[in-house]
Amino acid sequence: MEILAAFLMLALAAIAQNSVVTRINLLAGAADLVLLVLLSWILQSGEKKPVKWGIVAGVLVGFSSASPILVSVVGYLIVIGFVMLLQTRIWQAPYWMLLTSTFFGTIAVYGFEISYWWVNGYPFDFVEMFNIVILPSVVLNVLFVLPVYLFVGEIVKMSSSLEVEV
Amino acid sequence: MNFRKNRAWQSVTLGLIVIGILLMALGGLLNPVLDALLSPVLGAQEWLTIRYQAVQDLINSPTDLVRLRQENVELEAEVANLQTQVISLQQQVTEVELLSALLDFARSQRENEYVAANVVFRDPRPFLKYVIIDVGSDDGVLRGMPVVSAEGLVGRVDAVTASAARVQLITDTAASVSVIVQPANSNAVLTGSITSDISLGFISQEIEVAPGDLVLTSGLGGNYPPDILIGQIASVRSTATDLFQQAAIQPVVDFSRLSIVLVIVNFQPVEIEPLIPDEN
Repeated sequence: MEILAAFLMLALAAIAQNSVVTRINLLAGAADLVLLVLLSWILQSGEKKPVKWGIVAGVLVGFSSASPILVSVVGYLIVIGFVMLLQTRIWQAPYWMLLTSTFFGTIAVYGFEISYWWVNGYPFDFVEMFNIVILPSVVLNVLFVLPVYLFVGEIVKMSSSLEVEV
Repeated sequence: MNFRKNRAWQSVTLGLIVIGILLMALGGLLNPVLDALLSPVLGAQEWLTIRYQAVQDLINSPTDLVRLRQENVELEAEVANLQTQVISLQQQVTEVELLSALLDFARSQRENEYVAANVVFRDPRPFLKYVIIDVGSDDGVLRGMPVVSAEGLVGRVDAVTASAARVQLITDTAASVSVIVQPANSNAVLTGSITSDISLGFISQEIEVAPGDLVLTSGLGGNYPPDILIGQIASVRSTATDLFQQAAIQPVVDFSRLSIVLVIVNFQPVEIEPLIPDEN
């Protein structure tokens, strides 16, 4: 049940990302709903092997993006690695950990993908990219993460209680 | 005998009186009298009717309240339904207007063959300006084909699957289009940016360009057919020390509201990469 719930949430987040969230811009930045759902799920579900959800999220985003699927997958896996590292250190402060992982996760995912495109000949100016894409995206992600976290928390509770009943 | 006569006279007299009264009533002569007589009766009747109605309302009000609430719910549902229909019809009208504009555009450019497509996705990454359309190689769409809207140039097909294609918009940072500025008839290169603004570079200093000049595809480079409208020059930046002038462009296409586009399927982009000398 939990697997189905997580997959559905990530898929819905990817659809919402492609159709709605990309239109909500701050400068040239946009929130990454898939990343927020992924982080909220990993932090609340007590998932032992979150790597698989990183792969699923990367594949879902990669399907609709010009970025290669592998690049999206690696981007999300970097975030998961970071979260796993944080969980061993500040696991007693979930909200602090959520905000920290959202902040650095956004920088990691966007930074990795921008670097990939820069290596492949895109004329990106890194300072400009940081100022008008990455930082505004971080702000939007930090703004959206709390409601997403609470929503995902409810889904986690529902799916785990259904599992207990079954 | 006298008694009978008297009775007959009495009857005739009474009959005449009745007829007289009737004639007077019909003629309206008795109205003041009737009004004076009837007004207390009518007043009493009205007073009684009001009290009766009030009592009846008091007895029947719970039933009426339930019925009214039911009616209210039904009417609210009907209003919601009608509102949905209105929104749906408005959307249909917008779509028809859009399709009509596209049809006009296609008719005005008879030399091209078009395939219409819906924009289904936008790239989830804000620094990549791509959209996914719902036509692919099954519909005759190939990589490199230009994409336009009723207003002007949108971009070109970057990747194709059987049923979908990815379009790189001209606002993308890596997009570049050879253009011609009218009426100066000067060639320039249009590039996108991370903020979705498009600008012109490589405009010769000797050419006079001004805000309001039209920017169209030139056809040079073989990536786009010539004479597709892109936009107007919004501002020109030129200093004496620069080799070339630069200009900001106001595009005719609203890229934030793209919904239906046309792919020019009879245009074959020219592959010039083999002709470019190897740097090594």
